[in-house]
Amino acid sequence: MQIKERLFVNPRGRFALGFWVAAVVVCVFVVAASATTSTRSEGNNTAAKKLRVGLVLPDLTNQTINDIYRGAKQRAKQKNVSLLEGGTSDTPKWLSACQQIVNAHIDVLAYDTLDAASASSCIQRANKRHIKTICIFACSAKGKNDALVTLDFYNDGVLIGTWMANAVKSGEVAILHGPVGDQAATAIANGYKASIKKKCPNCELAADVDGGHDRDTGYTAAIQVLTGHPNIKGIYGLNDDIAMGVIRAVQQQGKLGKIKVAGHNGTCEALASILNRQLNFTLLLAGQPFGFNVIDTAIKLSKGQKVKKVNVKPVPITLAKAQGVLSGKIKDTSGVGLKARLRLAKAGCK
Amino acid sequence: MTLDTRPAAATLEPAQDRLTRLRAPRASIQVVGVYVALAVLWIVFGFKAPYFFTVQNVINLLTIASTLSLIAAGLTIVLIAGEIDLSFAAMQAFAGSVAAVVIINHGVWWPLGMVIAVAIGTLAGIVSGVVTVIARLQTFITTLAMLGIVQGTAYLLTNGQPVAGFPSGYQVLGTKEIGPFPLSLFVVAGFYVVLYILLNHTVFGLQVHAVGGNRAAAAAVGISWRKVVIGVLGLSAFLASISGLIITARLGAGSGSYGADDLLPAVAGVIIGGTSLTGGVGTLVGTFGGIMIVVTINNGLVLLNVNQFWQQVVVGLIIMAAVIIDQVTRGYVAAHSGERGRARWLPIFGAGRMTTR
Repeated sequence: MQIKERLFVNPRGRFALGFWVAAVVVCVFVVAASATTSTRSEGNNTAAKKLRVGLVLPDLTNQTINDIYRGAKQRAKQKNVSLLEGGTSDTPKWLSACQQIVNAHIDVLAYDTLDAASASSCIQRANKRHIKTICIFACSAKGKNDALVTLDFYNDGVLIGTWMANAVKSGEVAILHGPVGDQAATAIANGYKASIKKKCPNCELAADVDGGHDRDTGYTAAIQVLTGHPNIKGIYGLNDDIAMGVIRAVQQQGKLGKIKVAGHNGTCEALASILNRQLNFTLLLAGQPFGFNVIDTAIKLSKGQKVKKVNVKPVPITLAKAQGVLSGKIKDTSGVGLKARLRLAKAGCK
Repeated sequence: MTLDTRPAAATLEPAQDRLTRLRAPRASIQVVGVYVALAVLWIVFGFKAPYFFTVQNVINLLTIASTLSLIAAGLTIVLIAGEIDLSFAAMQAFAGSVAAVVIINHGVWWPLGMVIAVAIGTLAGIVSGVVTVIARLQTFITTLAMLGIVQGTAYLLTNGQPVAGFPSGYQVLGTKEIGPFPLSLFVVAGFYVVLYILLNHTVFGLQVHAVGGNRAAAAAVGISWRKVVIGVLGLSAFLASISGLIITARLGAGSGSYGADDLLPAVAGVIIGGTSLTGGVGTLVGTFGGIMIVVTINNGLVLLNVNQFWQQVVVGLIIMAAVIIDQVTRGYVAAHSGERGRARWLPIFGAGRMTTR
């Protein structure tokens, strides 16, 4: 009560309230100013060794993206690089995260966007501030990139479609495509459909449905596709988690082995599933090495060195190839440690 | 925001009498309407989609509807109490992730892991309720905050990746079949029976209706709205956690994203099922019908291979139609049950004043 009176009630208290408010404001300014000063002085002293890299990615639930993120984080720790991270698959939030990171005095911005047009303003802002930019996979429509880590998503779709065409030869096939508006997902789906049309004239794309983004949504879509198209011979789930949902649905309806199932990403679980004769095909995109590459590229750019374009080549995996690499009959030329990955998969991914 | 403009005497009218008078005709009209709409949809899709009326497809429909209707039941009870829960879909993912991490990564005995997951999920719901009543916040705010907390925690626990490898005993809940039907359907049906009794034949159920129908009147007869708010949010989180376990058992893995997309379909089902967004009115039977409508539309359009953009448009239009029908029915029933002055008329009917709880 006394405190309340001192602050709010007595005539002096009215001044006291103003005093306290002013004191808090002054304190905030003093702390902020000293923090800025110390950051600047620290920056002057350690600028050469503490590089600040911004990493803006889509949702980390995409396992390749998650792999890249973890690789970048691991390498940043090894190389004493300060990593600022943000992003999501929702374009406005992605843009907001990107702009905040660009405003945070970074030296290099590495990004992957699902929306080339909308991402442009952030990349152009980074260009204006002379921040070096690294585009990972999907670049903005406008703005300059100093380095590219690229992947031809359309070609990934073509590879999967070609495999499916050869595997089923004729009949009904399906695709459970990914999140609406995801440019990478759309490119893969387009590549798959074009390839099926070209390589398998006797195939019919009987179902082209939203498989969501994970096993749960993939399973729900797959049980309906299997019921609506009982003669279906092959289903491609846009990523490996969706494909795992398809496997679950196929298993439940007693059609395992009768329907070819393909995925994309090459997760440990997908490799294990191939070794267990459930999943038939996946494209391995080893994200972690590219995460390392992003940080190494950022360091080179900050030193004024030029960097070559990095083309990520996916590795097609089938049961025959997996068994061959594991037994040593097929040489592991993937460059992403396929044999070690398969061993891990065989051991249960623990 | 609502405003109680009635004379003080009106609030002294026995709560149960008024509830019975208001609730019964409207609820029954709406429930019948929901099932008529469902029947129409089934007939249309039955003619249009060749495999719609197959045993397998009916099982598919019920399987998809089972977990959705469980979380929707929780939301229905929350809405009847005049509150809202936005965290239940994320809570599913959270409970599933907790179960996956505890059982698969830490090797805890799976029944114990299930109990831990459900207990933590329920606790999170109770925390939402406690914060709501202590800080006197709206549940919209607290459950929105809880959505972020549990969703983020689920991703943190699983590193944003699926955690696979549940023991076969755990997976029985999602994969075991009794006859042609999955076990999970019977589990959900059992919960519906218990919830029906809880809502319609217990003191707690009466309190939920009373608080949602008129909080001031409920307080006047000695009902603690605080206990009801904590209770319904805890119950909703409990049901979401059970649903999360069923999903993970079905898929054999847990992830921060499994079930997180169920928020909108569940809300749509509950609204279509006739539960009022302003409290006091709603039935579990209607909710199940509403969920079946949402699931049927999706299923029918998938079987017809309709473009997914059109699917979204159709679902949106049906929700809008359901809300309009809800408003019109509400006005009609109130007008014919001597509650004209208290009707929530649509503005298009001209007589409107916003009332009341």
